[in-house]
Amino acid sequence: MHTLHIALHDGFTDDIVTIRVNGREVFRKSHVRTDLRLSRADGVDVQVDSTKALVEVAVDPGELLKSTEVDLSKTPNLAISREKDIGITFAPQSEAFRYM
Amino acid sequence: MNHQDPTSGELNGLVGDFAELSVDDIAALNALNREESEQIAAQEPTAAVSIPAVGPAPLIPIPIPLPLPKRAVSGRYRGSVGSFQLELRVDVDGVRPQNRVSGDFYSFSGGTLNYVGSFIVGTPAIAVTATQVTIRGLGSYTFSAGAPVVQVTIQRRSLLQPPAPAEVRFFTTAGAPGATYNCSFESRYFRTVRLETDRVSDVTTPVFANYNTGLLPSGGPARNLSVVSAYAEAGIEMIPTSGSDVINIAEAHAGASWSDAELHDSMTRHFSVFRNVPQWTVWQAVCQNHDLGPGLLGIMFDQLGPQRQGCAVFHRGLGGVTPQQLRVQLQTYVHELGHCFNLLHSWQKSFATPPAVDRPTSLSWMNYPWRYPLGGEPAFWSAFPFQFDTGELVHLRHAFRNNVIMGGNPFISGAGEVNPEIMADPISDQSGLQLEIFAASTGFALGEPVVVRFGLEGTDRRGSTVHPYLHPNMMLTNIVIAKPNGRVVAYDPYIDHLMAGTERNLAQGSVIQDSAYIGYGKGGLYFDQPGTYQIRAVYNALDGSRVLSNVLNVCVKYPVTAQDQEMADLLMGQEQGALFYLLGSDSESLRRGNAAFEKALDKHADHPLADYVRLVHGINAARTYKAVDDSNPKRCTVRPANLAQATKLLTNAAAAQSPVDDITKGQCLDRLVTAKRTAGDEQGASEVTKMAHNIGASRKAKVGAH
Repeated sequence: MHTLHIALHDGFTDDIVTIRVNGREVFRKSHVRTDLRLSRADGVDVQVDSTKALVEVAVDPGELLKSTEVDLSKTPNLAISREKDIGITFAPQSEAFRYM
Repeated sequence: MNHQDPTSGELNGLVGDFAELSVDDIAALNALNREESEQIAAQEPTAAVSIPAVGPAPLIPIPIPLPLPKRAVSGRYRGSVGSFQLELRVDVDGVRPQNRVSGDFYSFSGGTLNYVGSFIVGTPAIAVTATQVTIRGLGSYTFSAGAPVVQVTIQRRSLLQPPAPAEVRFFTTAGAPGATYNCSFESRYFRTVRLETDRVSDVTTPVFANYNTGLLPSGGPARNLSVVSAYAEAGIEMIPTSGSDVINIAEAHAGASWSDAELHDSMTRHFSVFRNVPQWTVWQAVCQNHDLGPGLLGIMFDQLGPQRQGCAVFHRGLGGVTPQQLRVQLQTYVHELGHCFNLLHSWQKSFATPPAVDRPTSLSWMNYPWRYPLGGEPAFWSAFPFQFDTGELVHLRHAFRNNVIMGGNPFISGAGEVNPEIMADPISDQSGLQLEIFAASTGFALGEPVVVRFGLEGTDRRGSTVHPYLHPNMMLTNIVIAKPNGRVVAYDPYIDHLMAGTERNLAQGSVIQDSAYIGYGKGGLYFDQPGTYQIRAVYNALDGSRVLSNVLNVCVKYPVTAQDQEMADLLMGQEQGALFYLLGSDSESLRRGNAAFEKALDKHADHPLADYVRLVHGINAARTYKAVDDSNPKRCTVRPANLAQATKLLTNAAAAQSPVDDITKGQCLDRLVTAKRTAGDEQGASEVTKMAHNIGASRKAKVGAH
């Protein structure tokens, strides 16, 4: 098993966020809001069988929907943000998340 | 790589941004900039150049009198008049001068001292002579000031003499004198804060003391920095309290990690000067673990009641004594205290209330090294000079008191109060462009749409490559508005337009013009109170230049008659603002706004502001309006254009006596021409074209006169 660390970062303002990994819903919360002290809204660790994971994210309001494939052997940390005029963005990274 | 002496820790020997500048240095630098500009002009191939003959000259020793260096005049001053006390901050020389003056008023009442309000002079005129410095400018206030012009005069003294006091005189905008304060010099620091650092018993690594910035590559001179000296460089004095304490980890309850609530609770017990009121004191807890895990290096945890009084750092992710660990400790300790001063992350400044400009590439204590967009963490550290950026400096030194003091306004509120990067004049401008903004009238009625006209003129004889997007909707020209209460807000268009790249050559003397309604946007109504507003625009040129406009003063007048008041009530509202912005709409969601407009036309058809309603209704009538309608099998309802109604409304709105500005009149008539042509009414189109042409000719005549 591999662990995928998903963190919701910038741009969430009282949103409903649903995350599915390889078709399985792993996160569903309303009132998701970015904490501007840390630039972080929420997070979830997901156990995945393979090193590949298809991550699908839905955000309301805005009816935003976007997916990405993550290679856990290289980037087991996935930051998800909601950016003005762009929508959902993904930032996979090898290093663990840090906040201050 | 930094090659400076890694043992040097004194500010006196620092260079560049860190050097302490006298007012003479500032004046000399300004003169040098002017001289360089003139030299550049003289180096044009067509410029005549004469080369003086050079020969051996005898060396004659000339005794040079050594002038005593003058004291810097910047710092904090204090004085009283009657029951009022003024704390004055002068920032025109010394380290990283921001060319500002700010102050806080207090009043004595019995045995109490109460905060009254604050002001800041953002772009004062500074005059320096051999004997004195005079700083004068219009202040922005947290209250309605009767005499808002501030003049500060300080005698210049040598280093051997004690600092001179500052005479502060206030004037009305008409020049009549107001109060005069004689303020004694108090400190070279702009603000003084008491800092208490407490350690939790389970922290096994040393509490951070200092780091030599020369140990690893950096973007600034090598020096030993502690939390205290890092803030001292920003002009903020941090005085450690004597109440340092060791907190028993048992207070963190289960798991020996801290939640924000537990940290707050601990602060109320251990912070020796905690009073839960606005005061210049801050608490920093050095902890091992937070509930969010090792990735959390620090947090400003205090968001309960009066906020920003405490923060914590977590040594599980920070602890250690290697240079890398000490470096990140220094940044985190300073960063979290920065949040206590109401500073936001560099890339989140636009979330401040009011918003400022995001600065994701800022080399600041408030950025995340690992989020640095120009090369990530290694690039950040290599370039980081261990300092706050300019906008943050202005906030720390000059923000209105309640926006910065611990326990004052909540986190984020007031964090973007001053937007110096936009409002401040550039030190030099060689963009080859000049931006001018003006209003059709310097006085607007309350409720009247505020429309600003833009003119971008080429000033480079070789011409300049420019984009033509002056309208703020296109996001390439920004607007800032200083409201009568002193708050500075960035105008945020209701709808952003993403434009394809377009370039054109702007010859010297050629002008691109546009006009924009800036009364309503994402920030709601921007001119909703009578008073004097200051507006400034920034054109973001293709080469990265930020071309600043003049500062436009716009007065929104109090309603004089009952009819004026009722028209203001009918025209002001979120939906009416959206209708002005959209130039009309059939949308059901704007039904109440349209109803208010109808009422305005019915009851006050003869009022000058009714022409703005005619304009909006006329443009909307001239267009085909499509609406998504799920009850319709085609899912779309189409309301055809009503050209007869549009013609009647728009010709009235564009009539000579209409208060609508000429550019808007012309643009609206152009739309009517297009609508008529589309409908096959060539004769009607021709008549309207003639009308538009007359307006255009009138405008050219006015611009020429201008």
